[in-house]
Amino acid sequence: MTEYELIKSCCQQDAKAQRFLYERYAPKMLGVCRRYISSREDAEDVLVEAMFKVFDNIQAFQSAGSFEGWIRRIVVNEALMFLRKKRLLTVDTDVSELNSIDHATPLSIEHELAAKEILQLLERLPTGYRTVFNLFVIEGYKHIEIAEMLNISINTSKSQLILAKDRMRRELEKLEK
Amino acid sequence: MEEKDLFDLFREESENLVEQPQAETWQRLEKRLVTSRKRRQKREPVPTHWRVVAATILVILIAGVVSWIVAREHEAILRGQKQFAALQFLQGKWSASGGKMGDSLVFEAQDSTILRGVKTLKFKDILVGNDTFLIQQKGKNTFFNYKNQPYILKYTDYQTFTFLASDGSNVRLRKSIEGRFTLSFDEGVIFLYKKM
Repeated sequence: MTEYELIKSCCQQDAKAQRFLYERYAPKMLGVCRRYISSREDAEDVLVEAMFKVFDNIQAFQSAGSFEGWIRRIVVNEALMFLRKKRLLTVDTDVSELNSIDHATPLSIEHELAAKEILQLLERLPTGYRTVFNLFVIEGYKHIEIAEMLNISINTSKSQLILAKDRMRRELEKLEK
Repeated sequence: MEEKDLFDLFREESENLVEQPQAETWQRLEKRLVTSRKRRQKREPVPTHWRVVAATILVILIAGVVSWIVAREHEAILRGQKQFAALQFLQGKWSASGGKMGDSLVFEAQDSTILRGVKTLKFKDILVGNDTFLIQQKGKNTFFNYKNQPYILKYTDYQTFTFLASDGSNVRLRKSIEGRFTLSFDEGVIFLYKKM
């Protein structure tokens, strides 16, 4: 079944097609959820909510864009909503910590990291750092967009990223030892 | 080993970050989808062809009811006119006889009146006394004089009467308040009533 046929069938509330679509995208989308939400249980709750919204609004999907990208945006929004609802999305910036960071050194790594290790690294970051890091590095949003999404200033978004990088560097150093 | 930028590594590896959800996750989602589907079916809009059929039936019904009401009202008007005419004959000091085809009509009038025939009224068949009355055709200012008809009226004063026939023609009569006219029609039913 092509993606177009799958979408068309889902528009008609075809249960089989819905299952098929879920099976195709759910593992990847759960991965997205897990990057934002440490608890697997919560991540699966968010996945259910997001996939329900995908099916509920599938008629609104404009076939011009990427379908996976469209689902991913819904999942990310749902994850952010969850974090906001649980009041986990506190974005505090420790200025002293920010001043002590060496901005010049590029954040590089000598060995390959497996996806699992990446997830472990992300899990060690505070929610605010992790969220900005995910949105900027992986989702590819700009600071102005992140600021709008998280209702923070552009500078806060930038500083959160710097702090996330620094924390990540320290964690990597530990890992390499 | 070549050093790699962490951001690039994250971007690349995040694509491999795939986790299989528990079977129970799909069951929860399916449950919600079934509920939503049922709710949608309940508020499913009526198909277009059924809407068209319903609208047509409604239009026919409305048209039927309206035409029935109009017909009833028309009938009532006609009935009312007859009654009104009869009433006016008494109250307005009219006296009349006939009203049916071939009948002659005799009446007395004291003021302006309208004579309306429901069918074609032939003025040549109107018989009046040897006085003058004028026929004005609808939309025209031409007046026809009718003279030397059998004289049956006795007048003390002159007054202009207006008669309106079913074909829209006006018949103006200069007659006495206490005039007496005899009118006969070779066809149609006439209703006679006073203009208020």
